[in-house]
Amino acid sequence: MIGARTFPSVGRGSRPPSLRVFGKGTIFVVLSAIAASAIYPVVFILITALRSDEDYSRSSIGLPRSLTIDNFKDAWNRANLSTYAINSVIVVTVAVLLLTAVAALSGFAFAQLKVPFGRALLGSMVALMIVPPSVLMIPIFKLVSELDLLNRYTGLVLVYASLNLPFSIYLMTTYMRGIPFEIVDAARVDGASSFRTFISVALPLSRPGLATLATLNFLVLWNELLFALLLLQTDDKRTVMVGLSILTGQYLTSVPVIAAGLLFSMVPPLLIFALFQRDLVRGLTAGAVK
Amino acid sequence: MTREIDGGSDGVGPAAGQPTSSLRLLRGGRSSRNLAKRAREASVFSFIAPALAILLVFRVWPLVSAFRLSLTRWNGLTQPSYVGLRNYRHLWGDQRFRDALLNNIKLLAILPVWVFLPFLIAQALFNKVLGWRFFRIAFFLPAVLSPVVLGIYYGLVLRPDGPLNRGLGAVGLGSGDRDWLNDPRTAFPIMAAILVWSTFGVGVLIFLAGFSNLDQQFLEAAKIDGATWFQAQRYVVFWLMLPVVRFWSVIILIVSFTGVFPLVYALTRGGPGNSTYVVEFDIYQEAFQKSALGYSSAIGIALLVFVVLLLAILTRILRQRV
Repeated sequence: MIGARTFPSVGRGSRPPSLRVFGKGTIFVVLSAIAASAIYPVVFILITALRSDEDYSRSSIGLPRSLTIDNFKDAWNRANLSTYAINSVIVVTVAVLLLTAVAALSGFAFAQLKVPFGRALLGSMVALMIVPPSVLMIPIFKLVSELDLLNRYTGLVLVYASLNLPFSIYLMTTYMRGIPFEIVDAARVDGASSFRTFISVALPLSRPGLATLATLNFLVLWNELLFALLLLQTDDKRTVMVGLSILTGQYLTSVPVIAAGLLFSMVPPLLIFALFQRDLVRGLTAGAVK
Repeated sequence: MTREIDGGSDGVGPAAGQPTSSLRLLRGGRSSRNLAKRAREASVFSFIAPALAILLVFRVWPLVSAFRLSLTRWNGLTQPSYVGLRNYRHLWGDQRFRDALLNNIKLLAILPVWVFLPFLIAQALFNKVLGWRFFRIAFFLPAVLSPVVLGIYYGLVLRPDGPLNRGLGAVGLGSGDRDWLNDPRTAFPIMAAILVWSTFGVGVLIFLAGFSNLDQQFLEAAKIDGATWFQAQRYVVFWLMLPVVRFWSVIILIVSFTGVFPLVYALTRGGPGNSTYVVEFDIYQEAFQKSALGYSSAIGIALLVFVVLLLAILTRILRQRV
């Protein structure tokens, strides 16, 4: 942002007179309508998951006449969602930990240590962002099957660790540059090794950045479909999103049971969203405003 | 410090890299200095090695491999056989690929809406319209959910016997049994709308961050010069926000070409006909339904070339001119 650093902001008191042009009322109504459309899916899925089949076919909108939790039991046991959920939790948790650790290590090196050809190296790593993994689905599939990692957690975990890595390295480097050089230097003068400095100085100081990164990557990976579809194909290894998208329409015909399945799959992202909203926002806007 | 004076300094392991260079200089001659330098570099390299390894194996190597496979005919079982550029020539006349590419381009064509909708909404929220905190979170909600979930949800809602038709029927609109997602006229616009709807909340956040970093001085100046609200937006705010607009446009470009697979898969599987077919889906179908892995790799490379070209054009158009 030009000038944003040079001049302190004049303050929020001076706003463009935009609101006078439209009328606050109109804007409020429009925004409310959009907000309703954004919230409705969650409400609809929740209500539908609590209805019986008959109740849903009688009236799919409006409030249910009676509530039932049978749909959750059906989705969890009969539709095998319990297996899918365990698979997703394992793969995504390990991948997020790996991704965060790898990004933090290299971010620390790029930001605080003297890396030979550091600029060029960081530049080329970040430039890999323009190679979207989805255009590489065949070679990645081929590679994973050649490594004999098809239908194994490890295969998808490694691919997931690479998915968002360029952006994660960028984010971590930016964050770790914010650690005052003096602190890192002091640790070094006290005889701490680079690794020690990383563990006991850099990591604790970057906790908000790490939270941001982990939150963002958890959401991306939990919601991912393509590589989960390609790399974990057996029914006992499927992730939640793959399970849902394959079952729906084929084996699952009851809308309330589908809704129950959707609801299960939404719990972790919604929880993360509720708990780490602030971190999430910071992560998403990190690239836009430096 | 003690370790250093004790002189346990000849190791090349990560621990040897740290001693401060000044001490080293005092103590050793040239050889020791070089050794220290090499040790330090080895230690620094071990920080970067994991990232480098993962990226080389899962990003760079697949890229090379995609190029090579795209020049072959391969069914996934036998050995790939070299066919030169035949896959690329075939691509040109492939109606399905053309339809898919056209659909991606149509998605990109709504970029102005995709940019200005969140821009205007962020503007309103920045001006602290009533309930702005709530709106900010609500708009972002669909982006938290998987495109798979949204695709299945809209699949249910838009069924012929689904809630939308019932709702429309109840208020006396429509025939009450329209098959929205099986009608080539409505399927694509619906998919595009879902895509914009599910991502604009992220745009709002990004523009909000931009607005709060905006230097209000320029706006003050414009106001003093007698600019109307529209003029201020057009000539001042837009240009000051250009880096943010560019950032968001780049994201949209990448999403509209390489981030639509999950939604298409869950919502329509490309149908009806080819009406919601996108290139990513074409890669998937050619490879895993028709076992044409060489041809499929060629489509992947073609898509990558398109994305890079369009990125170059887009960033040129939105070049900073302030």
